[in-house]
Amino acid sequence: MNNKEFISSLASAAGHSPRDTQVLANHLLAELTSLFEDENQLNVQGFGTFEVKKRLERVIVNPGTGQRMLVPPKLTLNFKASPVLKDRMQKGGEV
Amino acid sequence: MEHRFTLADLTEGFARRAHLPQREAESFAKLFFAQIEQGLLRENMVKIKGLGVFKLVEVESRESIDINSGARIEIDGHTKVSFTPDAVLRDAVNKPFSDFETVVLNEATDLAQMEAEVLSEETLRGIEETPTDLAEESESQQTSSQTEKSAAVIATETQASAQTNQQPIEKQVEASDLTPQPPHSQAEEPSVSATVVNAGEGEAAGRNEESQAVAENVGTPVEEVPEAADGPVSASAPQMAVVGETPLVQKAAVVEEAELVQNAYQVKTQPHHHGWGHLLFGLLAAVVFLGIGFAAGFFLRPANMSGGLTDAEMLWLKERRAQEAQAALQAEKAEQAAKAAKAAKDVKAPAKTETEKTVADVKKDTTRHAAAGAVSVAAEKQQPSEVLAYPQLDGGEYLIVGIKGTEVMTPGKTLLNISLKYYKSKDFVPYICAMNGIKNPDVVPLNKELKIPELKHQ
Repeated sequence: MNNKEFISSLASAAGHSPRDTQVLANHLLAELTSLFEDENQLNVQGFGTFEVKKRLERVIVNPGTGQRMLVPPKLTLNFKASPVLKDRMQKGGEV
Repeated sequence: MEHRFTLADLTEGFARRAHLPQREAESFAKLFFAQIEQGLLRENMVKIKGLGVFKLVEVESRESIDINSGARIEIDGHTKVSFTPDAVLRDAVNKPFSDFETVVLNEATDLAQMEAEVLSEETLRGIEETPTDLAEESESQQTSSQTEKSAAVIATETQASAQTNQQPIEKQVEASDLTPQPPHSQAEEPSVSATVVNAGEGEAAGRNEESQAVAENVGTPVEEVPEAADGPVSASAPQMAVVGETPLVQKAAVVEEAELVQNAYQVKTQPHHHGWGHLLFGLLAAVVFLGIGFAAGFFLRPANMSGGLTDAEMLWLKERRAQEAQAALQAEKAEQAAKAAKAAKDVKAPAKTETEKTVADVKKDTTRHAAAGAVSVAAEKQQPSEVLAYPQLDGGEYLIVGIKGTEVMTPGKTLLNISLKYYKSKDFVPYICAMNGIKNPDVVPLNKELKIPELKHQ
């Protein structure tokens, strides 16, 4: 499902036009981005947890050339599905 | 920073942004995540622009070991929800570390070294730069100044050497000019010779040659300068001969040199007379035999040196000492008289040839050495009498036969140290005590001058 299909399905579910839904979705995503930029953690009940984690710098080796490279530290956004979501996924949507 | 937000917090902000009522915002947010879930269930993947991709990943069942029991267990296969953030969101999150880039490491690069480099670069750069620069500058200045200094030193040295080389030559030339004039030469020649001798023998030879050349050009007597210089120092016969051979030597100079030589002989050597020498030798030989006789007498009698002597023996010893002293005095007087007579003779007859004098000198020396040896032998033989002159240690293994030296007791000195210093052993403290009348070795007055006894094994 790509973004367009997602917005159309969301619009049909929310009762808005796809354009309005897209605008609202953009606002929501802007809010999410601002949250994650501040390294906050967002817990959505019944869905999962978004968390910004810091990955330390590390040395990687290119197996083909044997070249070593130092990967700098970085902040990554991780998502951990909640047990409810996992359970639903296991059962194929049957709740 | 790092707060735990819930959906309610999210919808609050979202409502402000979208100018929506809180309830509508909350319902829309809930629908949003619910639609993601639905999409996942339908198509196993949801791609949302600006957020990322949610995917369902099938994980196959695998065997594992229960960490508690150690039993093999099988983890059932399941689906896992994976999330990959969108590039925009990823960069936004990683904004604080966005300046970092992956660095290709060389093979020799060490991580610890890199950390140190980072430290030195970031923290110490500003501090270290200026001092090192200053130090380098000062060093360069120092080296430059040193080189300058050394150059200056070399220059001064060369100048000085040149001066020293020049000065003696000039003086010698002056002296050679002056030598024909007797009244001046008497006073000035010795000083010239002194300068030549002081300047160094190696250089003096060269300078003499130079001065000779100069003097030849001038036309003044050549050999005058070095001979006059050597005259008071060595006064050897061959040089006299040379003086005699030079055609240009003037009479005054010859007379003067003869006087110098005479003076030197009067000071240095005692001209001899064969008859006197024999007489003296005989006298000394007699003394020696006397001493040997007494020594034999001492050594042959029962050895109770440390013990008390009888009154008769003491008297006899005193008499003997007086006799010896008288004999020594007589010998000295005779020697002095002989010297005086010889000196007088010398003054009367200075025409003796040099070779005769030297031979006589050698003979005289040998006789004197012999005499001295005889005296020393006599002194050795007289030791037993000296034993009585010094206090002895009762029951000691050694006899005190003389004074080796003196030692002033200063703070820090101990009898033990002194004993070690003079005898290389600490066992000789009692002898030092006995010599100096010290009753308590632990209490020695400060600044007391201690006589260190000369010891002889019994």
